[in-house]
Amino acid sequence: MTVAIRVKHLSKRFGAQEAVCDISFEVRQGEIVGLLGPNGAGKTTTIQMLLGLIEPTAGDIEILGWDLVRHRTTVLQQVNFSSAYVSLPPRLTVWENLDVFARLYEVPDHQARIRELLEYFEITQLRDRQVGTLSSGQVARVNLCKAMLNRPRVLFLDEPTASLDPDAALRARERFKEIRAREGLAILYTSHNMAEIEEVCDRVIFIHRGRILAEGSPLDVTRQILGAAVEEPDLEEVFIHVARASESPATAAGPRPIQPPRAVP
Amino acid sequence: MSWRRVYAIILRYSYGLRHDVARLFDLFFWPIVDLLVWGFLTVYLTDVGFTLGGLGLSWLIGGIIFWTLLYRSSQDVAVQLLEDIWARNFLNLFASPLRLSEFIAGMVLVAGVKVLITFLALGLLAWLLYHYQVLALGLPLLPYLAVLLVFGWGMGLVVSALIIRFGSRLQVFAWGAAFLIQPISAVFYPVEVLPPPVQVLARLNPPTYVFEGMRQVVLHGVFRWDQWLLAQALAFGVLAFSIWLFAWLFDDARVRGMLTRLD
Repeated sequence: MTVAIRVKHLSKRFGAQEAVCDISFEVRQGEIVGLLGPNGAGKTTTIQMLLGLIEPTAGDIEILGWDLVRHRTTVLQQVNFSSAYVSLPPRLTVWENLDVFARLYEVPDHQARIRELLEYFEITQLRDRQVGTLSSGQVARVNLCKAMLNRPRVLFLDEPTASLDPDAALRARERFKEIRAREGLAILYTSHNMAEIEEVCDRVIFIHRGRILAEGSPLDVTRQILGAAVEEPDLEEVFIHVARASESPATAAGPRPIQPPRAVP
Repeated sequence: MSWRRVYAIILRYSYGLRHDVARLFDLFFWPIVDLLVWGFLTVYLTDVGFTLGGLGLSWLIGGIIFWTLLYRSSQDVAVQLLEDIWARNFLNLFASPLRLSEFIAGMVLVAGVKVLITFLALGLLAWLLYHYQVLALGLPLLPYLAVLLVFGWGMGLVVSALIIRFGSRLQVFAWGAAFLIQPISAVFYPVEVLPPPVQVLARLNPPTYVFEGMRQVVLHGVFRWDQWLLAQALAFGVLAFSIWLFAWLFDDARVRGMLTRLD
């Protein structure tokens, strides 16, 4: 499979604080990769560097074969993102918002594309409602419409289901898998819902304090961190283990020491 | 530069205006309140026999209309940027292929159109209520308007750049920045009334030449091309500096990670 995202020795330093430290990874076309880690691990900083919103201190980012720094516009025309923490202007209607973004992405025949997406995400009836009057579940669907407008080949989803109830979150996950199967796009996905990651992602990259701690299938990562004897993926346990071990290396539960970051081939 | 993306930014702010009462207040209500206050003051001063020499009291009405053009031009640029920061939409915009030049072009064009709408509304109202004809200045009106508009854009972009770099705690300047230079803009009085050192500052301030120049047109019917050219050159200088500053602080905010923390 073609490599959609290639990150080499990426680092970001904010003053004395090292937010991301020499990480390297790849995401192939058609793959959903989860980027996991406790709060402050460097997930969002990494995604924002991949979107060109934060300038890396060091390292290279290649998306769809293009260097992000030198070909920013070309790259961003083929990429999109959705985040629970970024909104659309609340006073604009759903249609107006999508109209603006379709033009920003220079989507051909954009009105037909917007109608198609509204139908796909089952929100055609909301097209003339102001975004600020919608429920969080409806807003999340509008955000996903925006994220799919330009038929992206790479999609960044930063906690896309964070504000959704379980039913809406389930439907969203089904949509992600369906879109991946249909469009064959690469998705980099962050979430604090470990069951969701296990369900949606082919592979996960576990980040801790800006470094990659483990990488592989959910089962591989579970084994790398909790021990080889584990038979089922349990990312929640991995997550809790890493978070507690980093808080206190000698808790009553006696977590195993966190393995040092390993080099990614 | 993609004009389609510039148009997208124009649409974004035009759609916002359609639904936002607060922005309509900025567009019409506050400028009209200013006009009414100064208009009735003019009526009162006229009634008690106060004069401003050959200038005529109606100059006060002209002054407030042209001053409004300047501060609205500055305010619109900065408030539009704030709208996207408040809406947490800023990252959506800059995670798209949008270039900074396209964003700036869209912002200033929308601000320009909005200011001209305000100007026409005030001109019409001044004529209806006080029989003041803003068009009586004739052709010199256009080059003077251009100076005020361009300088206002420049000020708005400087404020926007500072907001991007230092955050929305500086948002008060979006509304008030133009008023910082009002005392040295010679809006209602000649520049000679200022203390000599302040006059030097006033002479570096493009709007000073506009208000002084317009008084010359009213009093002597003379349009000073040399003064206008100087004012226009200074205004474009400020605009060029503001664009450079905006681009520089935008890049600096990307390096410091400030862009993603704006709220």
